[in-house]
Amino acid sequence: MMKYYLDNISDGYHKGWLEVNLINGENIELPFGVLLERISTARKHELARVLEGNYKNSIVQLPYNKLGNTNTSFLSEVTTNCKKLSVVLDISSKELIINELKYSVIFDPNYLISDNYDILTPDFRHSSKSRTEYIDEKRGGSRFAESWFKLISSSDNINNSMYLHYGKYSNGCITFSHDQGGNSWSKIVSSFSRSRYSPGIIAKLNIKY
Amino acid sequence: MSEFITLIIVINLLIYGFYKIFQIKWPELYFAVNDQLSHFISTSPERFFLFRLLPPLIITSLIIGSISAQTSVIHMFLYGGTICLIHAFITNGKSLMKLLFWRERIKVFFNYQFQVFLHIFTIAALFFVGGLGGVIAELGLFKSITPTLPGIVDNIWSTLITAVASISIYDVYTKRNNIDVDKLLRKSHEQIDSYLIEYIHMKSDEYLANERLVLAVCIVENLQRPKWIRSYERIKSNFSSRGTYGIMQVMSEHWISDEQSIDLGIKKYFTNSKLSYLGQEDITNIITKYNPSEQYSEMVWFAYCYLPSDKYDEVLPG
Repeated sequence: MMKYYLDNISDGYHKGWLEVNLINGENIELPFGVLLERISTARKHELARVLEGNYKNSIVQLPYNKLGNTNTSFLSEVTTNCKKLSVVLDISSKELIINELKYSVIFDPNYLISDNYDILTPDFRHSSKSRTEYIDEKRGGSRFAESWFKLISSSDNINNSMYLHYGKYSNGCITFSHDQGGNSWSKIVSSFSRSRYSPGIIAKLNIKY
Repeated sequence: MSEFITLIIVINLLIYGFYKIFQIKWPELYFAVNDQLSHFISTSPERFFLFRLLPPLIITSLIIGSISAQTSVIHMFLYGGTICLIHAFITNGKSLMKLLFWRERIKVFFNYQFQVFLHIFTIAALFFVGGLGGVIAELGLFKSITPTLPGIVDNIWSTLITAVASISIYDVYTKRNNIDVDKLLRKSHEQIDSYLIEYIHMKSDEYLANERLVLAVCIVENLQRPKWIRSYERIKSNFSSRGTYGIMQVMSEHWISDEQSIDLGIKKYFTNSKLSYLGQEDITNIITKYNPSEQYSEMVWFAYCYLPSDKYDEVLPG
């Protein structure tokens, strides 16, 4: 069956998250770029199966995008294989290197327990941890400030709540500081949304000492 | 006289309570009664009429029908009209005064004259609506559903107690005056016909214009002058042909369509804007030539930020 990714929610209104209903009526939010499989289309919604992330295998009702007085789908076809990103954390220069583009990040090397990590698709909207100015692009933030990427040690799969995120440094995380502006973070999230190492895993983060 | 004062107080308190609940729970609807009337009316004229005029009409006719002993239609019209006019002065009148004399105290998001006109229109409309409420009360059209005086008194007390309790609770748990500009921009974006969005894309390509910026301008203009106002402008052009027309509000000696305004607007103000990176300052410089208002530039910048950067072909910084 054809694969799709959740698209057209990177505007300032959606901020990278779309409210959808599970078939039991429960309201949830799916992140920009999550992979889905379309099951059917109806007049008011589309039915799709989530292929990765927190709601993997759940069936969801997606609303239509009502731009320009017409209903269009929030789903875009995955026409080519998702590209694989090279993501490296350089301990000495304190930089995150994504396909040779370098970004300054804040982290504490003492928390790094592995040589490589899986970068997972965003799990949920980290609203409570995102201050208003972080999410506000008009004030130098990023619309994707609430999209955090969980990092899991590839070797022992330890779940230690370590995230790659935007905003203010928090213990154990790799933080893309708000002080350097949200533009670059928005670009990172956009490129992450189309990159997959395997379902649910955006890329491998390699630590360079 | 005492009956008239009682009516003024009772009806204005009820209308105030009604809108206060909206102000706290649904601030975007409350635009109708406060400083940003134009935001509201531009998102939906139907909503404006239903939300701004219908509640005062119903409240006025029900209360006057229950309390007043006047028997003349003219008296009742003046009664109702004056009562609603007082409400109109307290809300729209206050905003109008700020607009006219203390502009620094009010945020003029859009077109100044348009906002002034809307407040004047609303004040006049509320006078008429109040008068109509009085006439309806006199004719007894709502008689079968009009409550008795003791019933009203009971209800007023219970409503006031509930409203005070609700307001205190909501004040604690909600952010006041938190206006979601992105929500307004989305609403305007939704209302722009898809063929116009496609036309903007095509013409931006033709003139090497920054499509995201052109669409941002159209979203802001559409918020200020939605399609239904542009239709009136077309009628107006029969009497006074010179004016700004179309979705991009381009100055013309005669009426022009949305497509023509896009064509002229892009050609005149946005040609080659795609060829270099545009930061906030560059955008402000371009927009100032288009419309010198600071608030306008700010709003276009907001709309530019609202639009997704990954959907448009743009030159990156550096």
